[in-house]
Amino acid sequence: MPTIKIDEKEVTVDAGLTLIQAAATAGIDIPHFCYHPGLPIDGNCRMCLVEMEIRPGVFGLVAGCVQTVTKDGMQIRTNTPTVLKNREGVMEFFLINHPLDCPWCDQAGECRLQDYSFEHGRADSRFVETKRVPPKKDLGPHILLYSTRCILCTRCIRFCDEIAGTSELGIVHMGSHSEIDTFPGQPLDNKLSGNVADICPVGALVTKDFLYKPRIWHYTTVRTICTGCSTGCNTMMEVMHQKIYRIRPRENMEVNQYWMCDDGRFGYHALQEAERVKVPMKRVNGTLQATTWKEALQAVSDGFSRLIGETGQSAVGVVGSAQWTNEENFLLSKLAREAFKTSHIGLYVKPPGEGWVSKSGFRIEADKTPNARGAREMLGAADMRGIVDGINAGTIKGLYIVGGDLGLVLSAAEKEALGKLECLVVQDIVHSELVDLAHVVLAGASWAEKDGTMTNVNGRVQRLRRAFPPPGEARTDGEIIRQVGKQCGVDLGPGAPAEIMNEIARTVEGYAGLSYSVIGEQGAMTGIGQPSEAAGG
Amino acid sequence: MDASRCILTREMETIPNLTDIDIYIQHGGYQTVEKALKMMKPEEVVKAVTDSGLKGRGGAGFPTGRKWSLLANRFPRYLCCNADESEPASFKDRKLLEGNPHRVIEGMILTSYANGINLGYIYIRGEFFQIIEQMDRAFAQAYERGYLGKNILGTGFDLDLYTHPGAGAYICGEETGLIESLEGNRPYPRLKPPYFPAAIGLWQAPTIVNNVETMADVALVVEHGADWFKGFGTEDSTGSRLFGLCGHVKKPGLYELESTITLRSLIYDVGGGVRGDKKLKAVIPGGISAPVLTPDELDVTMEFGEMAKAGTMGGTGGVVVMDETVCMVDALLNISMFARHESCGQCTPCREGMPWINDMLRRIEQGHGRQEDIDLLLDVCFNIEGRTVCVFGQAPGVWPTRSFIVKYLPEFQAHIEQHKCVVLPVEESYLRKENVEMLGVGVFRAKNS
Ligand SMILES: Cc1cc2nc3c(=O)[nH]c(=O)nc-3n(C[C@H](O)[C@H](O)[C@H](O)COP(=O)(O)O)c2cc1C
Ligand code: SF4
Ligand code: SF4
Repeated sequence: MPTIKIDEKEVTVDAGLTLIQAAATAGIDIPHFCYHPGLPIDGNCRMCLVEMEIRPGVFGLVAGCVQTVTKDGMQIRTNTPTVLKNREGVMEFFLINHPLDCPWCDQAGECRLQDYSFEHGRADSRFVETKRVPPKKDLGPHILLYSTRCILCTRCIRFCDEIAGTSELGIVHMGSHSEIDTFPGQPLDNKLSGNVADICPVGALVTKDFLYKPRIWHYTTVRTICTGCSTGCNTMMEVMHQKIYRIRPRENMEVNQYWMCDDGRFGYHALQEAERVKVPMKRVNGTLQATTWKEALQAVSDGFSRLIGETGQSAVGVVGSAQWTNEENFLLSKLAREAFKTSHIGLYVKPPGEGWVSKSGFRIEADKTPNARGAREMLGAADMRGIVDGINAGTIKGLYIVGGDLGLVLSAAEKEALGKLECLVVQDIVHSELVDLAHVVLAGASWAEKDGTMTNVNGRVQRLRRAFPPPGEARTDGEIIRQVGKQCGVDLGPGAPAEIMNEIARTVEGYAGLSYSVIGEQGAMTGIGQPSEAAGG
Repeated sequence: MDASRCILTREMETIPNLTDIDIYIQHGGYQTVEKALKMMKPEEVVKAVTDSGLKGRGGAGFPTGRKWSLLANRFPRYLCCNADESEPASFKDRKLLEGNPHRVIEGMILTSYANGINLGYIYIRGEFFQIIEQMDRAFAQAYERGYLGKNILGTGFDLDLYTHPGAGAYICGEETGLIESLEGNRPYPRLKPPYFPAAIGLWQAPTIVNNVETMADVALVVEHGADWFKGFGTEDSTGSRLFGLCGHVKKPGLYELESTITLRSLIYDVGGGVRGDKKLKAVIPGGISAPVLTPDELDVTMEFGEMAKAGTMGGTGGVVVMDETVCMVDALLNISMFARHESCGQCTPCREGMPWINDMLRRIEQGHGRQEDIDLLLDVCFNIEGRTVCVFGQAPGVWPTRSFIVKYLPEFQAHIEQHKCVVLPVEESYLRKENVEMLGVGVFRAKNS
């Protein structure tokens, strides 16, 4: 590994790193627009020029995104008058034709032009000519282009060419007339199109979804994961007043790199628009009626008490959810074994959707649940066929089933079986055909309303984080499970998700060695250590 | 001036139908190809070209032998003959291709043979559609006669050559822009490093890009030997060159001359002097990208090195003569209009800087200049120069702009002060050399860049 000198700091870095990356390891930021670590190098913005020793004692300008670390002893200066003058020059070139419409620009507050103007711009304008005003364009179902703000860095083009592989975008015209555009009749419409708005360093590309929403500095950002499929893209969810306004990808090279798909990005609307179950309910004279938690919990124990026998003879079944966190499913399996004394444990399996792999290898999984793998491992169950068979055979008469899925569908066989039950307890978040069959309904929490972990398709355990509390009287699912246990006279142990994870690490095969500190921001793989206690789910 | 050296133009002027391969062969054509392929090793051809001191005629004056020696040791390799000639005031390649296409083909065959190339293109400016058709015919004839194709003249050497129509922009002539264009892309010049054509060129393979005239000169070098070639011109600028004389001269045209000739002699002896015997005001010596020279600076020879010493460049050899009627602001406005129009738009300083310069110049020309505009223009030049992806930013961007403004400052000042177009008498219109130096602004390069 070569050792090079950047502004009097010596750093030892891998050969082949760009100067921008090498400087970052020394804590030095080389300003740039067109460079993006996930995209091919283009070198067009010229903001990142720094001085490098090209002959002994002679320094010349090189592009920090193009020049790589090649050998020991390279000397780089990022701070000289020549370098600073260039940055000032580039900023001026960008701004002379820029509309300076920051007050109503979506990018305000997270815009490289704004940030670098602050650092490297001029207070006065030397430009007295007429500004260029290229048109605003509707590029596709999700994306608008404010061409006046575009700095022609081509990040968006390179994204469509190399990551999505769909190549919808290009430059039309030439020189200062250059504009980003699509081909006639071929809009920017691909499964990853929203990403272009994220990587646009200025406010040129914006999502229609986020247009003119409240200013970004009023949001709280929650670092969580997407629950749209079993990839589990790392995300930043921006919320205000218990509402989600925007979800953007968060870098995780092992999972989603810098990207996420449009279904996941805009999927929060389905949750926000869904008709939520906000209060517990119980069936009275054939109809579901709102009730109190106390009565609902009582109804559960009343409904099940006759059916719970000795272990091995219990007529109660439990069905977990791939929408639920590991911690919740773990508690559920504990509830089944310790309170309901049953080993009839199943998992609701959602019929698969469509999978897709982009040119760069970004995967959208066909499994549209976020935690099928984790749920299987926590429950020790792969599906609910055994449960359906048990009901049909008459060995299962009561069922505790948990949902959490906005698009839950039951097969005819499942529906028929559930209809035969003496007592069906449903813990869910939306009104569904499952809720319609229930005797007792417990109002649970969505993925935005709880903490925990989920295990993605490859076995990476990642943190899901709560943005706001569940609506109305709804409660988080782990809490509900613990209360049901208590109602049945069993203490299910600690309730904090982090503590439950410690218990999982001790008892569930593959999860040994995991804890919230190990999982951190980027997740951790299962199978990294040996369980300390007996294995098994 | 030794007329024996004016081979390219004399052939064209004296032999009717030289574009026909049979006529060309009757006058000794393709014998050099036969000689080289049968009797010379490729290395010997390279050596002859290196020894000849031939410098590229495309503008930069890069030694051709050296360019070839830089080719990465990988195969396949490709040849691109650059016939995109779009530099205003340059028309030598066009004339050469119109009159003497087989010379160029010979040069391409020899270059390919010397460098282990089996596939080459000649990228011809799209507006030259008749030349493209004629070149296609010339290639077809060469295939028929066995000078192209498989197993040429039984030597086992294969070579295919194709024409490729230019995509209609000046930047297609920049060597890496040309390569992108050949690949079917927008002609955005590539980053150098790493994309030096000799290392990573067409289809990522080592590639030679050489000018049309350079190719013809290669044919002459191999035909007559390096020593013969070196016998003309000077050590710095061997052989002779095609000079396109245009503008306000009595006898504009294409002249094949040794570079030992001075600019003054070129204008007054060869060109017959200034049109209408008016006073000469300014000369651009090597295509409009080259910094302008004043009437005091005419005693420089046309050698590459001497031109550089005079703060300008030999460039493409297109000489523009401007007489006393010319408004220098207007002339520069014209050049900057070209720069604005032809900037490819890929990189920031050039894309944004060219229109800005052009707007400011138009304002000054129309009498709306401000005193601070001069400094602003020079500072914008500073912010462009050396900071762009390709050389376009300098040439034809910064170099003409800075040299016009600094040298003809009185005329620019007069426009600003009198709020109208003012053509000063020649003597008053430009600064003397000492005064330019006192300004502290380099004319060719910014002093502190
Ligand atoms: C903006 C620009 C335009 C150019 N246009 C041409 C051209 O039209 N023809 C040409 O031969 N070289 C042109 N060149 C020079 C080429 O990049 C290249 O240096 C040349 O073709 C090499 O040939 P040579 O070594 O034989 O001179 C241009 C360079 C620049 C920067
Ligand atoms: S729209 Fe944005 S990402 Fe695309 S070229 Fe313009 S500034 Fe760059
Ligand atoms: S300098 Fe001008 S012509 Fe060259 S790449 Fe940049 S924008 Fe294009």
